[in-house]
Amino acid sequence: MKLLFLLLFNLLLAVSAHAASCCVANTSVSNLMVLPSKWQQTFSMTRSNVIGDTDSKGSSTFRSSSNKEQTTAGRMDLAYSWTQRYQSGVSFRYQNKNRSFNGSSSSDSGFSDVGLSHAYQVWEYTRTWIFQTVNIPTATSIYDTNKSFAVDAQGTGTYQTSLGIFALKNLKLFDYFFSPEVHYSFPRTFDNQTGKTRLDGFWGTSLSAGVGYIPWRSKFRYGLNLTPRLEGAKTVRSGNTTTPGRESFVWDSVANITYSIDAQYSLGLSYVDQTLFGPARNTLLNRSIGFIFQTRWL
Amino acid sequence: MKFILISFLFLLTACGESPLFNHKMEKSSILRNLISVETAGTSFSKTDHSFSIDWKVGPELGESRFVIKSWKNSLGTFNGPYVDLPYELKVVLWMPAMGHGSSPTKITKLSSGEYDVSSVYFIMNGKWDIKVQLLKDGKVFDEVVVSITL
Repeated sequence: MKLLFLLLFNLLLAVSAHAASCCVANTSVSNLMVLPSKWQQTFSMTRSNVIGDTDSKGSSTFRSSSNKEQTTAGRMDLAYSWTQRYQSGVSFRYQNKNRSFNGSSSSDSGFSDVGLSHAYQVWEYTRTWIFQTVNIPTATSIYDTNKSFAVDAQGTGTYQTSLGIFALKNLKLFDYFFSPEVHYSFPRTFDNQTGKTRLDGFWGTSLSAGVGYIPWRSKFRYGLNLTPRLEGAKTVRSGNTTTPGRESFVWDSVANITYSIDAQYSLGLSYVDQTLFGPARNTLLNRSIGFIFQTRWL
Repeated sequence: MKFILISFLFLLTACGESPLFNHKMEKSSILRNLISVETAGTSFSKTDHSFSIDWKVGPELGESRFVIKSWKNSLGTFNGPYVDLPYELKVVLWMPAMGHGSSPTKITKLSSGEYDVSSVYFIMNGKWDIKVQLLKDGKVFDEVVVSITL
């Protein structure tokens, strides 16, 4: 039972360490401490490839071999527990975006947005948390990009906040989690090539559900989870012109393996595929692989 | 565990269309959806000028390039004579469904009424608006939107 609990602390390793697509933000909490700890830090390296595009009617087109879009990211998450039930965290991410098509290519590296989060354990003896995340748009986004292929668009461009629940339950050798969240992106005005462009606020939501399996006396945990994510339509105003957008919808299918070295250290590998489940609407489709190293202190 | 795997497979087939099993492959050939503009031209509403778009590269995913040729409706036609636009020309790419654009385009004047528009990066498949704008005192005075689908 003790081993089971030790393995649980890396449950979240693969939930949201991967690159978000251009169109649907990832606003789930990434570094929640589900076991009593004072500090927790997570380093992750991910590589994400765009496989295809899906239009607003749901028609998907997979890209040819000459059309490549790749993001390599390093991310650090820190979480600190202020009391037994209240914790907060911060996330930094540095990434390289590389795009090539038919011989022409472009590349750029930079920090992405900064993420803040906090969570409160609702009841002391059940593992259910209410969390809130905040995205601070410190990076260049698609709305003020200057480089060819928009490779310098490293962030979302807007302040976003999410409110959600993370619930975890163990049953013998299995663990199950469930995490709905709703988020809002605040309006923002950009000074860009079109003059002043205002992006209206929009809502989004996601629902993560997953299961993990820990073989008897093993230090490995095998996990699967599924996260459908919906992003509201983005309305953009420039001068006298108003351009309504369309909703985006994508499904993250995640498979991960984690290994607990001991009570303090854990390693993980995860794979995220956005092409498996549908329907998808108005989005890029990514596949990514990630390596994660997590440390915690009591 | 069997139940979970079966549930997973059920979801894979029972939910909406999986992109993996319902997709087409990107064509490598150039898609031209702008024939009407090339032949008929497009007019600004606040000036007496029209223009045509002559694609030199594309339109296609990745980098495209085209030449804008402008004429005065009262003096010329699609075939010329071409005259300069009365205000500063700007070309902006916009993807309406996604609610975002692309990187800035570059405009170089070739000759009277002819402008080379390069660094035209369509970064993803879908419907794109090419906003051909006239700027007066730095603000958009007139605009024509040409739509293409890649």
